[in-house]
Amino acid sequence: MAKNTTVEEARAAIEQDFKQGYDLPVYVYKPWCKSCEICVAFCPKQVLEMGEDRKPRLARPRDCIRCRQCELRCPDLAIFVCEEKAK
Amino acid sequence: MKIHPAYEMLRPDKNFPNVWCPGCGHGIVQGAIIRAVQKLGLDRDEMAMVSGIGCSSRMPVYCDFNSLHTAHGRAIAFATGVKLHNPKLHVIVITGDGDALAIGGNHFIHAARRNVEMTVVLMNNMIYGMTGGQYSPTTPIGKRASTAPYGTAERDFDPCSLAKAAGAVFAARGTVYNAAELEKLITQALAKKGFALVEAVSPCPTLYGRLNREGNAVKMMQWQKENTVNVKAAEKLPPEKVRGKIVTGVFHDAETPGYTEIYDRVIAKARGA
Repeated sequence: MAKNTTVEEARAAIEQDFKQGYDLPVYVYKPWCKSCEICVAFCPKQVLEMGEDRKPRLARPRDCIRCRQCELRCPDLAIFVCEEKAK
Repeated sequence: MKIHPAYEMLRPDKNFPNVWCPGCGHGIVQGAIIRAVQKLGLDRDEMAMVSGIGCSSRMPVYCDFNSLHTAHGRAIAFATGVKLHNPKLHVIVITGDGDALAIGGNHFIHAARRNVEMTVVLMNNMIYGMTGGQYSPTTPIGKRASTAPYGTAERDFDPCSLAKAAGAVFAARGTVYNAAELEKLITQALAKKGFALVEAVSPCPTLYGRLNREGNAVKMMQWQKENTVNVKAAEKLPPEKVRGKIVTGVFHDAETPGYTEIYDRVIAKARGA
């Protein structure tokens, strides 16, 4: 089981990933995810699917419409739309 | 690239993920409350989050506001004290169905009658989750619980009607499936000057869902999606089409002076002003 982390540790890990060139529209912070599958089930464009580690992964990132439905419904604040709105 | 906007409202010294079971709706309500507070631009030092005992009442542990975790059912009583001591605070009471309506039933109706300015977010999962799945005052008749293996024989409360009848100025219901609507209702409730109730229907997949064979979190939220009727649409439908469904929306919205406002007048009178 993954170690619990504080919000500071989460922020540092996510910023680290961004610095290393993370370029997908949605970010999943896996240590907080409890694999409830709500985000996968209610994504209107089927962007997400469950990976082998029982955490959501972006199977079709190009289809994402940034509707934030995954972010609004995640009970653990583990998934969010990280890309700014299209310019 | 931006980080989750809710993270700045989380308590920095706590470990996450939160204590709730996978797929529990309470976390979704937490997100909705944080977004509502951010939308209104409220200062977190002017917020007070008060809770009692239960699954839902763990929320103030995770939100970085002034917080008070009190005795079972007494969240509203403590919140009344907080509000009277410092009327500038925005008081949010986090409570569950058992906490607010059974153990704290009297506090609930009398705070509504006095119209104490507070926002009560009542997370209704229709069961006592923390103590092992006993039936609560909102478990629908016939539904199973650990203390009702053949289905409960008791009728359930409608918290919104109860609050309205007791004198609240605002009563609304939302579901965690429609988190955007829930956020809107909480925003409206926070802006009211008086006793405002928002009932958030939140699935408990671990106990209620398992005992009633309603499936996992996704299936329970799918049920919410298919069985929700807005209050405006429900008024036009025959009653048999609304039976057994969740009616959402604003049930009651009134303007009545709040308790601290009237109490200030009493103080002025006593001082001979």
